[in-house]
Amino acid sequence: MIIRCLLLSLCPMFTLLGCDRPSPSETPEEVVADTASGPWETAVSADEGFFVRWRLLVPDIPLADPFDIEVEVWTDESMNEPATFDQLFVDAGMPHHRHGMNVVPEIESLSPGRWIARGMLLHMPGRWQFYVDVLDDGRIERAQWSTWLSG
Amino acid sequence: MLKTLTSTLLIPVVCLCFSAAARAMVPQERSESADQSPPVPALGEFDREKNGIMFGTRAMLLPGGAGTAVLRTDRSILLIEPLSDEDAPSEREISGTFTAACILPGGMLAAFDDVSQEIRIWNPALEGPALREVSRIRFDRTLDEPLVDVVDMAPFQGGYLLVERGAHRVRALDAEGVERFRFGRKGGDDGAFQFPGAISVDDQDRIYVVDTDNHRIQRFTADGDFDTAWGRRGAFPGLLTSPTGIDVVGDRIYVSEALNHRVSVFDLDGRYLYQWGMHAMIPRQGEGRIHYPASIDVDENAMRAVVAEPFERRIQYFKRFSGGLDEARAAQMPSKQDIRSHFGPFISGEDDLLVMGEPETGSLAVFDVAGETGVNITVFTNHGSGWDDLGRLGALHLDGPEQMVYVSDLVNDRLSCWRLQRERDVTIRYDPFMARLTSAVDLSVTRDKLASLDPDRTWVIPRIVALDRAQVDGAPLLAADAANQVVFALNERLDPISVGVSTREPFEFVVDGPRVVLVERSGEASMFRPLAVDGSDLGEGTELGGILMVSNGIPGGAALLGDDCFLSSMEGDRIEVIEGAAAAFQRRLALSNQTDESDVQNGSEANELASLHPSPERTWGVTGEYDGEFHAPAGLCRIGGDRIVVVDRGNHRAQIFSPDGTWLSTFSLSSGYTTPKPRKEEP
Repeated sequence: MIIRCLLLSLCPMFTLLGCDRPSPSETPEEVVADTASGPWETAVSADEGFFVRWRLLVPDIPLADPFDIEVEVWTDESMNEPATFDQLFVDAGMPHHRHGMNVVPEIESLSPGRWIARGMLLHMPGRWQFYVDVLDDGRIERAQWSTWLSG
Repeated sequence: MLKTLTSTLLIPVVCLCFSAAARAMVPQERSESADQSPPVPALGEFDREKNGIMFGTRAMLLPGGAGTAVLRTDRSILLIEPLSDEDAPSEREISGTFTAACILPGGMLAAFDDVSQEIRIWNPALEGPALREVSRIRFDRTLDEPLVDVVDMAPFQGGYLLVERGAHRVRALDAEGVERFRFGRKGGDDGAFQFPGAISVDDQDRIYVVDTDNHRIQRFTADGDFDTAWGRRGAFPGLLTSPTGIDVVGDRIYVSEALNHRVSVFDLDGRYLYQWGMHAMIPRQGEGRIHYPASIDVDENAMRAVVAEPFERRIQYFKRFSGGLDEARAAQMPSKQDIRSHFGPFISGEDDLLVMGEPETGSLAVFDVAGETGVNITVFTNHGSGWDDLGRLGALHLDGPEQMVYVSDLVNDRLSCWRLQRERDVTIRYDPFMARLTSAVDLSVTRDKLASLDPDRTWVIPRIVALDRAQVDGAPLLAADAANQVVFALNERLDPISVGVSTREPFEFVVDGPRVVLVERSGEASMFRPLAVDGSDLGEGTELGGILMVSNGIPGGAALLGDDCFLSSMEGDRIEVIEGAAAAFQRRLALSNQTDESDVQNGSEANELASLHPSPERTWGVTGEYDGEFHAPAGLCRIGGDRIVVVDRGNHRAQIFSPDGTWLSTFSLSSGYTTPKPRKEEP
């Protein structure tokens, strides 16, 4: 009952965020997790070979503490068809400091096209870039976005 | 009672303390007396240097101070003797196609001839104007594949060990040239190599291999089984960066490191002991400062060592420190400082952009060259194995209009593509976020795709050493593959789409508009072969398919501009201009477009152009460090405004010239100027 109430209260929020198309496999329990998640964001890969929708599974990125990211990979921005490929990599780096993270996140597949990168850790404040690399048939293609982490 | 008890207890305690203090003093006295014992011997004190040794890649001490044998990149061997006579050392030379050499236990000189697949042996002790050859051992290849890319060798149990760098393995031959065993494969795990560079054997016949691009030393048993390994990339004492040479003498292992500019010394289990050498602080500085060492050789008594520095065209001799190991450790020089840019040989430019390789950091530096000099606008990639890292740069191509950079990585077996997010009409500024990796391909998958394109060949993982594309719409990216000895074309997804000409030692492409020329190395000469835009032969089966021209020496780089071909001469410290070379290419291209092939074959013009052996008509530049001067100029390319950029590698900078050789500017990562620096007054 509580879960249903929460679900109903969250539906308008999804619409406001422009993400009125929850993933087909999304379960009520996972939606509950939205109360502690960041908004969905999108990115297109460099050669426009796939479309990425992602969100933090925490309200804000913590400094020097682990956090998780949920990533969806679609064939295009219509988000009708999950992309199929061999492997997904999620990473982050600070090009101006010429380093990346000190940890390697664990990538877990939830369902076709849906992944969670567990154990991301940004160890210092500043501008970070996130990378989603999709490997298929020996070729990776990258989608990326930036965020600012305050100290 | 209590007092009695206290004094009874205290006295022994005080006595114990006193005796402990007394004992503590005894070792001190012993220590002082121990200092009078002979110091632990340690090599590394600068003795002397010999300059003018052109491109010696391996220097070896002959027993008894009889001299030094130097293997050179032109595949000859120079014998300098005697070691002690500085004023008039005599020199003898053995010409051939040698790629590896070593000193045998009896003092004989052995060398591997790459073309004849023979090990030839000379006795340097025999006098005469020429060295006397005493025997030859032909590699028995009736049952196996030939030895390829042999870069070092060592005597082993009456036979030989040979390092095949490109094949990432070691082969052991017996005294008759029959293979006994082999070990190694490409990779980073135990027993695998990334371009092994040198080999040595200890008194127990354990085999030590310099695993250059894994930045470590690996030890194997006398049967070739993996034993242990140590080292990882870094500059701190005990770490290794691009080790190039090794010698095991007694209980010490001496390792030369190209990119740390030093020699590191370990015990037989890989425990770090000390180091010597340091990057020069002023150009050409020697006297113990080492620059890109290529080899280390220590005599049988560990009394002397010789280090080859091909880049500096010299060899340096080192002797024992009189104060032994303590003095050696105290004399250690700090790591290199304040040298921000080194500039490797790779350069690619077009219009207002330029990209260059930085081998020390495994990064690529991009410059805006719209103005009079180069301004660094971003640096990207790091040394490493991640998708956006770089193991070792094999080739570089900048697609100017699209602002795309293509990078071949020889260690990670990868070809990657980066986009420079840069607006051309805004003020120039440094932007560390400018370069974005768009895609990268695993070349083992490329190998499989090539095999499906041409199933008749046996394909290995490509080793791409040149990348470029003709400047016409729709022209594919061309890759010169040294491992499969072929040129192939790639589409925008970096998938191979066609297989072009075969090539033995590709070096680079030179492109100007629709004109594509493949530069190949052949011993001391370079061959220039015109290609179609897809990398296929121009006029296959006709005279047109031949060599366009042959140039003496190996250029550091080449570029076509107008009718002329510009070559950088690493040996001569100058730029050579072959006038009319491009025009000859243009005529060749026109002929190849004729529809009637018989006309082409019979045409006198075609025969006239079949092989052009031009000599440079113009040159500019001299050896030096001032503006307009060079030391070992490497990569060369053309940029907008009909200008030529030259990587002046020995001076850690780049220079821009007009086609007539007028100096325009000098720049590095941190500076750029258009007014030549004044010359210092000669004392």
